[in-house]
Amino acid sequence: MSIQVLIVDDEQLARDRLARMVAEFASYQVVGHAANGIEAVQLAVEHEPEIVLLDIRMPGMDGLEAARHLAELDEPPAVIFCTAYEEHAIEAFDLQAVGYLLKPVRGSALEGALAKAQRINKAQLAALSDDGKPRRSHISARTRRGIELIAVHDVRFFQADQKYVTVRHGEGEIIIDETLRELEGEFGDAFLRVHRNALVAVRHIVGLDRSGDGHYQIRLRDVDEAVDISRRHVAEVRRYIKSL
Amino acid sequence: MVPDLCNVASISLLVLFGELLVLVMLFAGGPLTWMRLALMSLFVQWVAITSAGVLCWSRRWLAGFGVVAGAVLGFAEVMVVTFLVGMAADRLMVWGEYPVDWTAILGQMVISGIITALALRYFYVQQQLRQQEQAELHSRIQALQSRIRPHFLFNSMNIIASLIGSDPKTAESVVEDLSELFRASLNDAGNQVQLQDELDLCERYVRIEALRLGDRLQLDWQVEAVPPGVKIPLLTLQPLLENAIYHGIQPRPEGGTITVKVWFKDEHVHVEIVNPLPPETGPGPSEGNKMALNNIRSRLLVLYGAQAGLTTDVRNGHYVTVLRFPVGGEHAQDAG
Repeated sequence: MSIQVLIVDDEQLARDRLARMVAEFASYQVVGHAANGIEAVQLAVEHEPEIVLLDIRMPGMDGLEAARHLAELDEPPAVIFCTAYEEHAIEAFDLQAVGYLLKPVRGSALEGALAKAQRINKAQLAALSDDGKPRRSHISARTRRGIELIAVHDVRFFQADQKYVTVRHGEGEIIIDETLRELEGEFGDAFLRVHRNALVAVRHIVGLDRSGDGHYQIRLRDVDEAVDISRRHVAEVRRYIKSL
Repeated sequence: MVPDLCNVASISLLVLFGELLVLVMLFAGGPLTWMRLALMSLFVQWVAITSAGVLCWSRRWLAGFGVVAGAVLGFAEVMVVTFLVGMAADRLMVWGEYPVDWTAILGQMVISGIITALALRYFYVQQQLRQQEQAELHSRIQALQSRIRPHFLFNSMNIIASLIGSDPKTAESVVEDLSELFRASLNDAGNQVQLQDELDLCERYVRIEALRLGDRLQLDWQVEAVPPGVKIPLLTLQPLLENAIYHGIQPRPEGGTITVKVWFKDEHVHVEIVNPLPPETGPGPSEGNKMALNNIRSRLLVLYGAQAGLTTDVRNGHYVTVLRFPVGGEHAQDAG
């Protein structure tokens, strides 16, 4: 049985060429083409490829972020990055011993990279991301169907309880295994801390409510539930909203 | 290195300088009379204007001798003029059989020699300074010369590699277009080309990018008739278009349309490039964009001074870049 490969590149011509080259190797089989990171994650869930050839520069979600989401899968695929010219990334790849190919890809280099392809662990990914843009465009959560991606700009608030964080977005909610502190560090000024257990998306703030017993709540666009503001954060939140 | 004294401005300056010299000599000693002023003026102007005439007339001939020999010969010419004028004045001033006043003639030649040597030195330093300025200007333009982005090179190579097997004809045309772009980027910096040539170059560039981006890239060219012969510094528009594609189209999964408008108004050519804004989720505005814009701005400043401008603006969710430059020639390059 041949090894299944998923090809991810935003350029049709680049995908065609890689597909043609992979097809020439007897022991590999192309199972899908994706044009950006989001499609890549979806197709990876669907086809469960063993290797993903992943372009770095793509619109929507880039290759580095897609790799982070792929690493969340139960059976994460091996990843080989492809790049035309990315000096910083290449240094980081070498440092982390992560497989990569330079475009235009040579047949022999492709064959070698496929043979040596391996999974990338989270430590390696973190090191790669720290080098460039640490901020993700999407939050991913493992669900029964595999993996769900929520665009960060669609998130209304993050709320922590006990062990997990609930991500409330425009069409529902998901549960992720991260801490509010990490999220606050990553998304910084896009979210506002209103409570020890809650971060709200600044762009979706609609207004402030005061309930009968003197508690303040913050309302967010398109969601029914309001988020409690703790006494400690009231003054700061009001000041912030005024400044908007 | 012989100074150019063949124009009215130089002669006027020479006359003025001569009068100043007369005043210096007048006040340096001897009786202060109008007669002395008049005679000294007559003599100095006579020497100065005749010398200027001789230098102007022999300028081409002197230029063939190189810097030092040319200066020595020029100096000798002035000395001969001074001697002849001195002799003539000596003979005219006195009627009768008085002997020539050799002391006076020697004095005139010493003064004339010192002033001429100072003037030659001044012209030499000034010329050196100007040459240095020219060299600096040239190297500044060279440094600001737009370079093809490495990304574009490797992406294009990838396109060619992809097409060679499946569509050799298109691969061939990509190689041709790419060669033209490279020839342009290797061209002497600061070169001015016909506006139409630059627009052709832009089209070649867009053809390559269109192969890469497919349907995501749409272009709307609205080029009005511009007077023939309008020139533009080479690779001025192409980097703007490249910016529009890299920042406005590439980060958008759905792509978009870039509008290029060219029109002519008030002796200025206006070029407007409109592209959609990158999505908010993507990376922030890149430093590369600003660098490319500043680069073009500096080049325009060197070539046109304040008459040209490059402005950027966000209008109705679009990024608008407007380039404006005068039709009539360059600004700084004429100085040499």
